[in-house]
Amino acid sequence: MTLHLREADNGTSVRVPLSEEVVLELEENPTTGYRWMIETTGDAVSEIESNYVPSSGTAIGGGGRRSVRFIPARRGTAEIRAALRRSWEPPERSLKQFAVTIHVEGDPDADDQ
Amino acid sequence: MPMTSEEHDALWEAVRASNANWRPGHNTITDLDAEDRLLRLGYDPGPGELSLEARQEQSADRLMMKGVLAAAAPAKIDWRNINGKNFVTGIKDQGSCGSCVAFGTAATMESRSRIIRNVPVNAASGGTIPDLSEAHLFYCGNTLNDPCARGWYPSAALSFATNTGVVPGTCFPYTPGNQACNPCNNWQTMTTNVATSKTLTSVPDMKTWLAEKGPLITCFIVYSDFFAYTGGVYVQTPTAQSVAGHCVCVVGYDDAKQAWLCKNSWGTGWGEGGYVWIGYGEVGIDAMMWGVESFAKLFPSIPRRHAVGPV
Repeated sequence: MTLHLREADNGTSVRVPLSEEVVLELEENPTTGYRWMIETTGDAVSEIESNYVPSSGTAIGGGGRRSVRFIPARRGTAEIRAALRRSWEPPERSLKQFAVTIHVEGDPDADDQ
Repeated sequence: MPMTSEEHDALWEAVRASNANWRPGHNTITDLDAEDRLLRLGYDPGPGELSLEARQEQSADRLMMKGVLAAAAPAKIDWRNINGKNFVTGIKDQGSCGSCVAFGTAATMESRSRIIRNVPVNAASGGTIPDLSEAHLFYCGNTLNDPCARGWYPSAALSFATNTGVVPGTCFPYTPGNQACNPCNNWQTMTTNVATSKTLTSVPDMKTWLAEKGPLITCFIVYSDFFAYTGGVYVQTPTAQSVAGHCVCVVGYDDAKQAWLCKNSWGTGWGEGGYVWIGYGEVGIDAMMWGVESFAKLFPSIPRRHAVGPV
């Protein structure tokens, strides 16, 4: 099972069982210099992969989507925060911010301890 | 998570190991992806244009033949300083819109029109020629849906600049984000129109053009290490992943550096004050370039004073 989070989920809290992956998908155009910078607080989830996936049929300067995979590491709470910004500019010049709180719970039908 | 010191050191090590001499800055990019999944880059070549992969292969192949391709052109050219005259307009910022083609095209037209008129930016009369409107080029000329997300093609931008022309930036100021074509009143009287442009596919021709006529438009593949460039000659590090196609204006070259001098559109805070030296044959930089040769109409129509020659 995979829980997909997108920009519309900004500011929400979600509950996921230990067995469920979380994939964050955000629109990004790196040809502008702006990319999503991801931070995770708490140790309930771990980021395991981050990919940029270009949209099909784009021309020079075309964008795509940043896809970041997380797996629950333990029961508890984590916050995933993302900022769309240029790495050489200060954080306060971010174009967009995204945050979601993840509550990792034990699987209801499994002995996860 | 922010780039760690270890990751930063690893990038430095990768640069050093590849015998490159550019300087990566410390930044907070965390996404040096584990796998290169982006060989296609989502890019559809425009009419007569190369795929990004073909562009890179062609540039690399030519680099192997550099002895054969040695040009008769001067060993270096920098249009920011031709005997003290600067024919390159200021560094711009495309912001969050994928409009690099419009910026590369406008920059090339701006420089070429100043060279033809011999009105450098730093002359007393330098302010009499306004910069061109990237907004007019991009939001009026680009017929793709969602242009900021989909980008554009240099050949299409040059076609618009030829058939419709481009107004001054004051007539349609650039702001990033899809928007309606909305130039000022009477914009038709304020256009600068290209008469002839040319596609160049050989390095000697590119150098000769740069030496004799002026800057060129080019496109290349951005790799994940490119964002961290702060100076020196950029050479792709082996661990970097391909990300996307990007367009800039080439304003010079230097055989001693073995590199092209490019004007980017990410503001003055990136690279060497907004500029980057990209090594010959790297990342598809010199597979194909586009030059503006002459104009059917210049705005404002001030008389040409005298021809200017490079060094």
